Amino acid sequence: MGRAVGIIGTGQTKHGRRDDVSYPDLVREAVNAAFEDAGITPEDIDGVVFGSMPSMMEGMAYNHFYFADAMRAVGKPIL
Amino acid sequence: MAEEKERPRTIEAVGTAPFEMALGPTWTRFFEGIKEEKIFGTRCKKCGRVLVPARPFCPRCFEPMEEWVEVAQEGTIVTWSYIDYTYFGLEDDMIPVVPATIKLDGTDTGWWGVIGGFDIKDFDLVAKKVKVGGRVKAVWRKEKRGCVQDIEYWKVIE
Repeated sequence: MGRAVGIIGTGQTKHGRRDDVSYPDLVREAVNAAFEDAGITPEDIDGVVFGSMPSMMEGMAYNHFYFADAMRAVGKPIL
Repeated sequence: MAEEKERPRTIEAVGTAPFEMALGPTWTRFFEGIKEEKIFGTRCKKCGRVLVPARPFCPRCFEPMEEWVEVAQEGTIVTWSYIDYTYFGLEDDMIPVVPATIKLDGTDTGWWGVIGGFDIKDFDLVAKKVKVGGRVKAVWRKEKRGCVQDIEYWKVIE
């Protein structure tokens, strides 16, 4: 059987039409909130799993690399 | 009455997806600088690195980068290449092209630019003039659009 998992923190951006910040800025807003909520630092993270629309609908290829640093995923595996 | 088997066909399809990408406050300010022929970076208060183009946060320390620094328009070639064939998205009149990573003086990261200002169709001349460690200087277009292409090319300083 698999190992037990738990959600230890969450974060959201402010909702609405958000052309006031860039795409990575927006990701960072939610990720910072999640880190703060969980009370952890990037050193506590082994890997990052992301989900988004298909690249074409985001206007760029490999969009997860575009905001990898905003997710604090630098030097870590991303799925 | 066996008919000759038709080769499986393709159909042509075109997908169009127009986008309006939000620049956010940092890149908006950066491109305003570009319109005035200024290159701005931001400095991380934690690691002290100056990154260009200006960034909202440090990708190593994850701290906000709020100190703005106008950086030099001269730098050193870190690496370069020579592209003399077309591929998807390139027109014939766009080649050859000499892309380079340039470390602008006073910064801690590479800037992507194209080297020009002489006959780059002559590869031997390119190989003679363009060197890793060589110095280059920004040459601006007269008409600005507020984008990185406002720097027309990087001129080799002899």
